[in-house]
Amino acid sequence: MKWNTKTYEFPLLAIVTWLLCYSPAAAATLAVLYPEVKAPYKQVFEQILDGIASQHNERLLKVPLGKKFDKSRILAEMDSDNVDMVITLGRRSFSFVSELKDRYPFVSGALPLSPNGVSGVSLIADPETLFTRLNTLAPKVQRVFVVYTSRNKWLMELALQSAESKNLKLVPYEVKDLAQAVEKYREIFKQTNSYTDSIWLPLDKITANEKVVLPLLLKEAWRRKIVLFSSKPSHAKRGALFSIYPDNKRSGVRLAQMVQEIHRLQNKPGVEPMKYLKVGVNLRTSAHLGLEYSREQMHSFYAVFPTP
Amino acid sequence: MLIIGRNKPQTLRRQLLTFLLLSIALLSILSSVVGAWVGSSQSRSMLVNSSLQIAGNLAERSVLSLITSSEENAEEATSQVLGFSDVIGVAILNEELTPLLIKGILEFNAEKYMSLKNNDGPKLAEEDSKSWRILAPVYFPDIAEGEDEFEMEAGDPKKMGYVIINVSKESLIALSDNLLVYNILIGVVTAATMGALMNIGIGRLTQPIFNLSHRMKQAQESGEHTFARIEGAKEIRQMAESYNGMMKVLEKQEDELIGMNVRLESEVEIRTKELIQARDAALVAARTKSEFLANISHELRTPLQAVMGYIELVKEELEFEAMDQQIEDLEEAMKSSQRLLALIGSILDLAKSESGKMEMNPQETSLIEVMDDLTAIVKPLAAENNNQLVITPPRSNIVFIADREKVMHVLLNLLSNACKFTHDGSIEFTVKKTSETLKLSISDTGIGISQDQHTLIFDEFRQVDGSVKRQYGGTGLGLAISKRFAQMMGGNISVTSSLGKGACFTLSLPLNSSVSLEVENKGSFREITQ
Repeated sequence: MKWNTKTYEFPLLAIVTWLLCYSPAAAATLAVLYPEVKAPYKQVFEQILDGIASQHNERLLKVPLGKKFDKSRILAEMDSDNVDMVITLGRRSFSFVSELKDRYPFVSGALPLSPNGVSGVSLIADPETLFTRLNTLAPKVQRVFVVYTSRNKWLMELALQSAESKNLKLVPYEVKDLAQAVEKYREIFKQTNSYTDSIWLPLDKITANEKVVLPLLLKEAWRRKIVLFSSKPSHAKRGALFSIYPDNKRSGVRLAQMVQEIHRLQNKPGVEPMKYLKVGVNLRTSAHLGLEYSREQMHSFYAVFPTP
Repeated sequence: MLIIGRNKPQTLRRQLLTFLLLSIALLSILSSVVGAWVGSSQSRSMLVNSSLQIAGNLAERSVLSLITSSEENAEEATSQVLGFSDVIGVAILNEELTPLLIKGILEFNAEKYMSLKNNDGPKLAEEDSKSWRILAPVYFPDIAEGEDEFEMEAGDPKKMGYVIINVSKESLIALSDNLLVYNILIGVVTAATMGALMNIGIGRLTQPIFNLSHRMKQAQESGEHTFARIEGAKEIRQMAESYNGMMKVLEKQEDELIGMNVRLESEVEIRTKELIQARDAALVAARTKSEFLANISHELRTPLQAVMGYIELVKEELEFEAMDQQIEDLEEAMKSSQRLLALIGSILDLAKSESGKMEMNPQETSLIEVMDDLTAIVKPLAAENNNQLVITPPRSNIVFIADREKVMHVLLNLLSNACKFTHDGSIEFTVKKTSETLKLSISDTGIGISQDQHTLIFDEFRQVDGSVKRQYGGTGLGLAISKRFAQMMGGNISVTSSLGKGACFTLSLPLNSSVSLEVENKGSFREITQ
């Protein structure tokens, strides 16, 4: 067989051009800064990283941060590695935000972010999803009390809208410190009705303090048969009717999508509340409150307590 | 053990037992005290740690009361802590150490705790003999490590106040006391049990050596060759085997010795019998000889005296007839008869002394008188050979008890010998007295006697050699008789001489009372100083 030079000239040129254009330098490199922590918190970051990896098929650079780290050295390495975009996870990585602003497109995750100019997925649960779960798991509840500090003020605005759409009455109280919070909760308990009133514990280390406030609320809510639900995952295990578990992997996927969008479109999506939620239910509390769930409901729960 | 054995030797078993018992007792006491001390220290440490933990827990439980400044909440927080038996007082204080609540026994003085305000955790703040006070800071409750990664801001622990617990040492003191008492009791019981067991054990271990020692002692006391039983430890078995081996050797040697002894005894018996027979024969022979000599002397002297009598008669008759030539011949015959008579007398003396028939006649003897008599007799003899006789009497007379005749006989014999064997020399008679002995020495400047002849000259019928006898005459009995007389008087005769240099014969006679008593029968001496 005789080769015809003109016949193969174009395909060969195309292949050479593609090989020249497709090089590692051309692939988008995503760096993920995350803290080195012990179990069980380590798994949270691993799940988020899995989600990121599943979304970002190109070069992924994982940068773990110890308790002490050299910020300038890490930034220099990222420069030399030709990083194109960055995701920060957790508080330790969030300290890079001011340096990253002018260097790379970035998003943040694994933090209770509030809108402050940074884009990312907040750990704070989307109130609408939360109230939807409340309606499902405690259908008799009509009123929701919540005590918050100024940090969560932006969330209350969203919550008020969501509550209204779900036929719930949200009663928010803003406090400044723990003493006020304790006092406010005492006042709330004086006006609550069993079964129909509920207390929502937002992600707030003052108003949902686990050592002082939570034991008080659990004890009183149990006694008065008030529905207590929380945005913090561990609270269901301790006695709240249900708590919200973020879907970390999906959160990772969303973070990767957001940073790719920023890289590609140069936009600023802002902060998104956590929409990908799972629920953990305390069956002993539900039984105490006279709530029963169908088999389908039981299957949909991410976790049940006490653990069978 | 050594101290115990210093005064009186103790048995090995007792020494071992004492040493081990003392060691165990010491060990028990030491371990009891150390055990009690360690137990007490650990209990103290545990109680302190437990108290620190209680204070920490109380601090956590006191947050609400400090937040709300509520005494009711404080009561609730402290009620559980006061349930602990050792906690006798508790206080919850705000950040300025102002008490919110004080319960139980606790004397609170804020100034004492001011310096401890900077402590991060519970700390032992004060201690006395009855209790200790623990101060724990109360922090605003923060989230756990790791979880803060999900917070926007880092947790900053804020101090809210303090809690103090007063923990009694009563239970610790009681525990320490009990520990000490029980430990000592256990130690004593253990020591007693160990002592009893060791007594049995050491008894069994030392029994073989005790048996061996007992057997050795038995052998020593009885002189018998008893054998030991081979038992016990290796070393003791070796000792017993060595002992038995030694006993075997001794037994064999003794058997040999007994055999030799028997043979010797029989030989000695035979020899003794032979000697007795020889002695008896000799005695009989000597007695026979003496008797013979005495008889023959007597028998010879009687006719000889008759001969001499007749010679004297004939001589007198011839003197009347003036037959001088015959008289001279008769005088020669007379001299020969006198020499023969003297010889017979000497033989008779010797025979008497040998047969024990010589009688001693002790009497007070004046040395001066003896010396005077001797001077008179010997002077002519000395003059014969032109010898100078020097007799030096003592400064004071010495009177002693002795047979005067025998003394005279001996001295005369010695002096006459000196005169006989000395020519143109000197003969000296000296006296020397000590507290016990009277020494009468006769020395001359005569021909002397060689060293090898010194003992021979005292033998009977013995002179230095035949030429002497021929030259000087004599029977050879004089010194033998003199020596025998001296010995019969408890004394002796000694000689110092060398050939050609003269001789010195010394008659030693005892003077002391004991000798006097002893020689009384033989003729004793006594010194009388005038």
